Amino acid sequence: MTQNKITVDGQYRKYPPLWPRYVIEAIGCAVILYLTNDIVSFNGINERGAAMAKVVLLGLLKPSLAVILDTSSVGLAYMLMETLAIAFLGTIFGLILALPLAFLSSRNVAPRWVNYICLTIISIIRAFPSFMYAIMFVKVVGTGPFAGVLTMSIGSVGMLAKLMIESIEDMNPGIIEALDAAGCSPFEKIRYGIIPQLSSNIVSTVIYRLDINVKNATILGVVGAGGIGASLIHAIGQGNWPNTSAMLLGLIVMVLLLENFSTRIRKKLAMGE
Amino acid sequence: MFDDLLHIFYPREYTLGNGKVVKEKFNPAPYITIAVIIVTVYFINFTGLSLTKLVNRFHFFFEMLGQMFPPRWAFWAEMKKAMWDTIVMSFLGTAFGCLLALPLSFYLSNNFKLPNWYLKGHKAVLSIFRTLPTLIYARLLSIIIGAGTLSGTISIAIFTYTIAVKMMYEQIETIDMGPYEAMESTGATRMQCITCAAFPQVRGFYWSTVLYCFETNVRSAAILGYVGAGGIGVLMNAQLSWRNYDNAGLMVLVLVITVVVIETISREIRKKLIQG
Amino acid sequence: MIKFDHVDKVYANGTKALDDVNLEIEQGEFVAIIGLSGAGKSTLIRTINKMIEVTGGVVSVDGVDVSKLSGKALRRYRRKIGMVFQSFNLVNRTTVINNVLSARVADMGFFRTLFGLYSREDKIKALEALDKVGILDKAYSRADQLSGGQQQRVALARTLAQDPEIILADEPVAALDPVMADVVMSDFQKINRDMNITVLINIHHVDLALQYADRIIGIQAGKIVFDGPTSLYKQDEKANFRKIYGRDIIDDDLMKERK
Repeated sequence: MTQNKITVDGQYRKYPPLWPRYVIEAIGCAVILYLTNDIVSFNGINERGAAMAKVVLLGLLKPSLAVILDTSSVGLAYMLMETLAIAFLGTIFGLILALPLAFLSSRNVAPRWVNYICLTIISIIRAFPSFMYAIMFVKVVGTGPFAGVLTMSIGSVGMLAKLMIESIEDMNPGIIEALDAAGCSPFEKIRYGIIPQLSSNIVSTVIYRLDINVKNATILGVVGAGGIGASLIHAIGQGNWPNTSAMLLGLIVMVLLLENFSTRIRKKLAMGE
Repeated sequence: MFDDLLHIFYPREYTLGNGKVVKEKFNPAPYITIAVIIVTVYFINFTGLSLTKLVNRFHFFFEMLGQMFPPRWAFWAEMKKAMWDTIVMSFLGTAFGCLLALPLSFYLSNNFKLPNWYLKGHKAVLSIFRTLPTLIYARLLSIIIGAGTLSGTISIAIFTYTIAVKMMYEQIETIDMGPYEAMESTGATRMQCITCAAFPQVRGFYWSTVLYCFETNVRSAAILGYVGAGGIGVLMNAQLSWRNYDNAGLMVLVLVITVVVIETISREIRKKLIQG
Repeated sequence: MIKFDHVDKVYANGTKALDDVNLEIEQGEFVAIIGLSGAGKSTLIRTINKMIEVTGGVVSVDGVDVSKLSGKALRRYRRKIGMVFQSFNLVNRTTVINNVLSARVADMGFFRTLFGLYSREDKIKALEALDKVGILDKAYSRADQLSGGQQQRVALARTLAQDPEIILADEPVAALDPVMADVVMSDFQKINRDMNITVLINIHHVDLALQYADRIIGIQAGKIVFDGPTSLYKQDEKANFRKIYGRDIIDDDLMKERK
């Protein structure tokens, strides 16, 4: 037995002090309160705000049927279709851009220095704020959905590539070796060795990104890059609540349907069907 | 060769030596590929995409980049307040959203014996709110309570709340309820059981969620100024419409650096949290 | 004194887990409940602290009808009943001492719980409980770094920190190897003898039950088929085993080699 026998009293004294936790919590609260005080200025928002909120909420309860039933290019169906088209094409083109980058960034496909170059390109593309792409593409191809598609494509590259790199690096090299041993050509190796291993992961990633893109497509409208966003923001700005309501309704339904579809397919893919 | 191609679309049949007929498994991939191609072509026409236009005018992209960089450093004095506002908005929005999300996510997870119809209903309402991006909330709020950082903060808080609750209750539904049962048997209240037996199991995940939300919010907060919800977007809009691209360049640079720094730090901390 | 008076339990899916159970258990007894899995052992002990509600008859402890308790009264009642589980039910991601202290939380107010403000008295009590089961040195280790046997002793310490009058144990050694099972069982015995705490153990291994318990209760399909002192059971082991399990004894029913 050693001299320092463990005693209840000795262990009691070792109980970690709580004050560091309280200090951190207190600082956190103080920072939040201080900053909140900085941001909130109660000059006349109370009464006007309450009245306004009432008007807005009542207005939102009466969606404009005219907008919902309108099939022309200012109607709801057309705008939703345009939003969906932007998101869809953005995902497809994003995939086309991301595929080579992802393969070249994977350690088990390309040499180290190629990995670094491609990973750097992906990081740069990702770090640049996506609304800046939108603004710049509007400069390049003019306002409208074309600029939106370009923005979405570039905006999708980062995440798609990142997730694909993970699944490429997780590939089982044994299968390629086996095909090599069987004397398969490079084409056959890709067809029977790589595609079956990756396809379900990639499809799942792409569908997930499509889901995100549809949600984000609203933002494009703000800078004139197409989609339902422009009309929606405009309607809110004008205080046209029935139109706002109709568009919100359409948007919510579309996103929910897509989300549902996306989770279902991804669940199926994850279970290996 | 032609026959091989046809067999992409329908399953081959093989007759084995013992006379049994074996059919290949039906593979829907070719049909899906063709459907995707058709939809793509249709949408390309629908949105008026034109490769020639893009190629012919793509130099404008680099021209604009050239006008933005090098940025005008002197603009820093004018933009630092707006940049600070953007970070504060994201910080406070994240803080309030996640603070609210914590109790609610326990309340909404199906571990704690609330009636099923109620949970389903509440979750459905949340998923409706989750479909709308921060920007829409910001626009609505800037009309209701007036333009400024307050609308931005509240809209970020709403958005954060809806996604943080979902991430959390999904995680809480996977925890081990054994310790909870053990505490319940000592006569502790539901709130005590949650604090001491359930929350410690998701503490790391919760802070990781908070950091993740902060990351995404900093990214999305920059645009909010465009619809009157404060932050750097207001300034960006103005500088771009006055064609002060070098000023815009500085703002983009600062934004990129901020986002990268926050993301790097947050990612490192999150790695530790998930392991610990 | 724990008293079962014509107790029935029928689950919502129609399973009859307890069928006309009548029992009287005095303070300070060490009782082993044996029987096949699914015979109703878990249900039986869980009705005592109302983790499961009975559907007929009366369970009373010291003259108090348990089924009538609810809310605050039920929580106050539960404080004097400790419970130990097969899977230990510790929070893996926190320290041993915090796991033991969680037994003291029921006595604390809202803010003290929220901020983790345990009193000096609580901490000493928790450490003494750890000392009693011989793992005082592990107080500041994380629970998941301990072996299975040590974890079960943490769980036992947690129960002791509660100052219970009764300890209910649901298959406490089923997940342990023979040596650790023996250690944990003798811990239970020591606690029972030194502190006059009633101990009710559900146990699958008949040899352990016979070695440590004063009284054996055999249960089959929700019915009590044997109830008596260990010595009585030992008088005709084979027949009594048959009565409870409906078959002859096999090695699986024993924790250690039989002598």
